Amino acid sequence: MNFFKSTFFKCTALLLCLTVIFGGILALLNDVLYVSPEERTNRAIQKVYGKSVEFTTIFDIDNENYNDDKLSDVEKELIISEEGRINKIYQIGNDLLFQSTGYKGYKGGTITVWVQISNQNDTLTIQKVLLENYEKQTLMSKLDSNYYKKFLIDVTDAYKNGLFFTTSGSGDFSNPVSGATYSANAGNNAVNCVLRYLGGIA
Amino acid sequence: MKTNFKKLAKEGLITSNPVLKLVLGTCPTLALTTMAMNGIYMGIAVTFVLVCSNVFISALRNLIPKQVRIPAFVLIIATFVTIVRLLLDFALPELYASLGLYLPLIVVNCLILARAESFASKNGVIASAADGLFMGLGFAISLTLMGAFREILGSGAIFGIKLWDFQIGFFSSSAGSFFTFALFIALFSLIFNTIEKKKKIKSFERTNAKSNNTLTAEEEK
Repeated sequence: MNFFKSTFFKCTALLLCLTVIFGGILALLNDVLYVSPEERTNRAIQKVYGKSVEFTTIFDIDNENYNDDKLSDVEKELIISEEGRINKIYQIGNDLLFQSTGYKGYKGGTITVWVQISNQNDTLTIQKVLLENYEKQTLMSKLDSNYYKKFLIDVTDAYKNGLFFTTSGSGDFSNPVSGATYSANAGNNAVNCVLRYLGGIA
Repeated sequence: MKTNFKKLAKEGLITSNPVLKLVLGTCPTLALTTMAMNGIYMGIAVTFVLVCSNVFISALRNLIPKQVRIPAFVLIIATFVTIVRLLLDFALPELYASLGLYLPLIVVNCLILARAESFASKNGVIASAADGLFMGLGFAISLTLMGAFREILGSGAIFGIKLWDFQIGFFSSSAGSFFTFALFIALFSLIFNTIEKKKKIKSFERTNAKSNNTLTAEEEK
């Protein structure tokens, strides 16, 4: 009987009650305010295009039945590499929209970007690169879409001809995030995954 | 006991301003004041959490044993921060994205825990709600003013509206945030101390005049 009057019991009971009550409230709100993956995709696409657009899903790792092991060797080679991977591919009109993750960033972190590829006069070009999220990186505000866009290149030939973004050396293709070489590395790897894919299917 | 709203408002906005006087919540202050709108958004989020957590903590103050008051307070604060996150992600995704990492960091904002410990746990529900509101407003106003200052000088814009092309990149940087913070604290202290000094002088003069009048009356007797 003394145990139920003890401070230990009162403290434990109160903390448990608060956890259960507030946990219940949050569980309920989570259900009510749930944002579906389709809605998140719509929002991401709106971020790129500035408005709602119709799109067709070509590839999406968030699909319920998706599994990396189900990919054929050819598909695996196009989608997954040591430098990064492609997570989603959508077709919007003549454009292709990729979400890709670049590895080998600062402290082994990653950067995930959206890459908009436009078909201009039968030439595929990088139109926009937008940051989606990142892990363990720095100076992400300096990741500049215009850097990738200014090199309007035929991306189908780029990767095949060894033209891809790098942080080493000098010249047009190096170091888009000044002062954060490893973070730039992960960003470049994310875009290079897309170049690699497009070069592979050309 | 009747709640003195005027006193609470004066404390929250001026005499105990959380940012410029108490120097609490410096992490979002330094990181989010690149733009005035970010200051407003953060201020609204913090005010909501402050008011709600103060109300609940005040309502439960007689039930929470003092040995576990801090974990209980943090639990309550974290719940409301999560509610804010869920609401913003659902209804205002752009705002949610612009606040980013600093939204969940409201849980460890020392302003909220400090008011819970020093005020809400010792006063009634209405007084605690008012304290949360005015402290939150003080926080929001400070962040908005600093954000406006940095945005005008750093980007040549205010609330996203371009004013001119002149920009001093320093004020958009992290170093600029520290400099701006120091400048605002110095200015606020200068203005506050000057006003307090004048009040003290007036009060001293009044006291002197009263005692002179009393002496004259006694001499006449």
